[in-house]
Amino acid sequence: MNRHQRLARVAKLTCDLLDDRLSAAGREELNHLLRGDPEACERYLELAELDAALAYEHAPAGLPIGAGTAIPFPDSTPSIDTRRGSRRRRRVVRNTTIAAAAIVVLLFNGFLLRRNAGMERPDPEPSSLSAVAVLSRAVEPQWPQGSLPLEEGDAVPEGAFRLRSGLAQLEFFSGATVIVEGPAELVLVSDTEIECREGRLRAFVPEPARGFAIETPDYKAVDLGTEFSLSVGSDGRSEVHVADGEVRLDNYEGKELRRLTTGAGIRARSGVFESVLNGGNGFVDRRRFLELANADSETHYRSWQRQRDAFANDPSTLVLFDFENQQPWDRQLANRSVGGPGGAIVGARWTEGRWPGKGALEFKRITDRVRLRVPGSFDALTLAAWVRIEGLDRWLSSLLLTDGFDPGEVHWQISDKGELILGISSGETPNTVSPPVIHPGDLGRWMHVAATLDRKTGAVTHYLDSELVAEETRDSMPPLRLGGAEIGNWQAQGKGHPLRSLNGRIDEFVILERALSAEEIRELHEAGR
Amino acid sequence: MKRDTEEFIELLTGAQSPVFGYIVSLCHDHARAKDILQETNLTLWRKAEDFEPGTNFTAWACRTAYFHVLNQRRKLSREQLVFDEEVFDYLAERQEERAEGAEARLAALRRCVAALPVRQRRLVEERYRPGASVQAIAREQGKTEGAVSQALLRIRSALQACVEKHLAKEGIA
Repeated sequence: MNRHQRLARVAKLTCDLLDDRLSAAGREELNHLLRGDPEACERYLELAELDAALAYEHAPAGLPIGAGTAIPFPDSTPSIDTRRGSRRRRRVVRNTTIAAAAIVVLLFNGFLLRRNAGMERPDPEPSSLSAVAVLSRAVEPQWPQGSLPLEEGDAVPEGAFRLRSGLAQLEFFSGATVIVEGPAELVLVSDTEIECREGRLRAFVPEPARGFAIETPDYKAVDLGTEFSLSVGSDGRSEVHVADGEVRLDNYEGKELRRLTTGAGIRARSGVFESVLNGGNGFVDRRRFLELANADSETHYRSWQRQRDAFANDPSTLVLFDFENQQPWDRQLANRSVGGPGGAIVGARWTEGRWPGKGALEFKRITDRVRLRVPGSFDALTLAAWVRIEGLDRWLSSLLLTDGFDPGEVHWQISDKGELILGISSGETPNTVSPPVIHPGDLGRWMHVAATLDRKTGAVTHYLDSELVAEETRDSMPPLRLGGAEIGNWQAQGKGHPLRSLNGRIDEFVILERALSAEEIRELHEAGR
Repeated sequence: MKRDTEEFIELLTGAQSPVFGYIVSLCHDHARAKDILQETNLTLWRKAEDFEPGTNFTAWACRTAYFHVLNQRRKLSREQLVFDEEVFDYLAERQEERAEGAEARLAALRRCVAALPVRQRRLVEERYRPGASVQAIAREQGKTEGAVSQALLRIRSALQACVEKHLAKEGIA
């Protein structure tokens, strides 16, 4: 055994010893390994101390200290201020027995204090961002200032979750679904437990997620299946109503307070409980939520259509693929720009876009693509698309690539690291590369990507969801050309180039012969969200 | 009794976790360790006048605990003992020295536990719930004891590494 293996063996045996599962032979081996080896002893002591600290922190108040002692507790137990550095001096306790009892009480209290400051309730701001749920839908959500706005499809980390107004539907990894009505302040403890400090919730708990719990100031509501609503007011008053199934209310020692079945409800404040029947109708349930969500997307859909019509009439629009009103067998992609060339669909299949009913093309197989031909040369270009990337499988994934790469031709693509890359064939360093901006969490969600090129100013920019993520100024730029080009793939050049096929969906693609301003990009993104 | 009761109680309170750790490292059984801690507390209280203010309270408490552990050890059969006298004495001496830094390590440990992934933190909570055992957890989760134990070993090693990192950052270790 080398040094490393020896220490690993010590750790293994120590853990078995602490878990009370070390055999006689193991005990002998551990003793043998520790004898005369300070490093091994250190390893053992570290683990033993860690184990003791964890046990000490998790012990229920009052159990360890004071148990098994026969000291009578006097009625007039002196209350002793435990604050460090307290200036108050207490009279000296004279009776040893009473004093000893006081220690017990004091340690008991100290224990409680430590426990509250300790591990039982982890920091609401986690230092590791482990996700516990997905924001599956949201209706006009307003997030508090200073917090990162969540988008539909985003993973939601454990810790604080605040919503100023609107509705959010969280699907927990345990299988439970919770609709949150703002204003709400929650702490997501895990995928099976949340704390509601304020807000109105509706929870659906299917069989696999049974036991999903919501904490309120007065109790912990444990769902035994299947649906209930719960609210906590800013004054701490809470209400729970069972829409269907059964809910158990526990206190914080885990003791059952009562059980509620379908139709039953409880109002609670500061430990006082009052029965309420047939309440909970004001809560947004799943059907209502879907109606609201559809109305919401309907509104978005319409605002997008208005904007699309504006671009269709813009003389600088070269290509406007909106992927709308096409039949599943259509192989010609209609260009809404008046007189603009259409695209030819190769392989890619029709599917659903950003909203229910919105068309899109799915690029899945390595042969899927849309071919187009845009004649002419230009002084400026804007490329913009709504895409839903399913995976960055290849070194480069194509958004739009000209067939060749002759001077002035443009290559727009995404690297496997999530960088947006815009190449203009012009000699040295043709590429403007953004930092990695598309992360694994972005896969599967609709994103707006845009790039602008301007020969006059030499500016090249990348935008992701209207945010400027890269900007570069070039000394010179040849006249810009597209010619024969492809969306979502790259014509095999027969030169051994690796595949650049896209894995994902596109439901809007715009090419303009002018460089949109940051403000225009923002409007484009805003209208299409 | 002329000494300041309140101050003494504060010292005693502050030393609970390090002394508990000291006892566990020597008798590695939480239930027994709790009893020994209780006995130690009473002895410390009775002998409070022997303590010289300004000296290391935790070290003094550990030395007192040592005799209680030793007492307890005498009652055990040979099979129940893990360490021979030589190893036992070395561990006792070394852990008494280490106890000084235990408070800082505990503070770091709390942060490290809070930062654990949910699944791991839940396993820690289950394992250290009073009365819990690896055997029971394995039964509940339908896993082998070995698998649970292995998971705990990994978590403990990760926590230990995390604690060291924290202390190194604070310039203590």
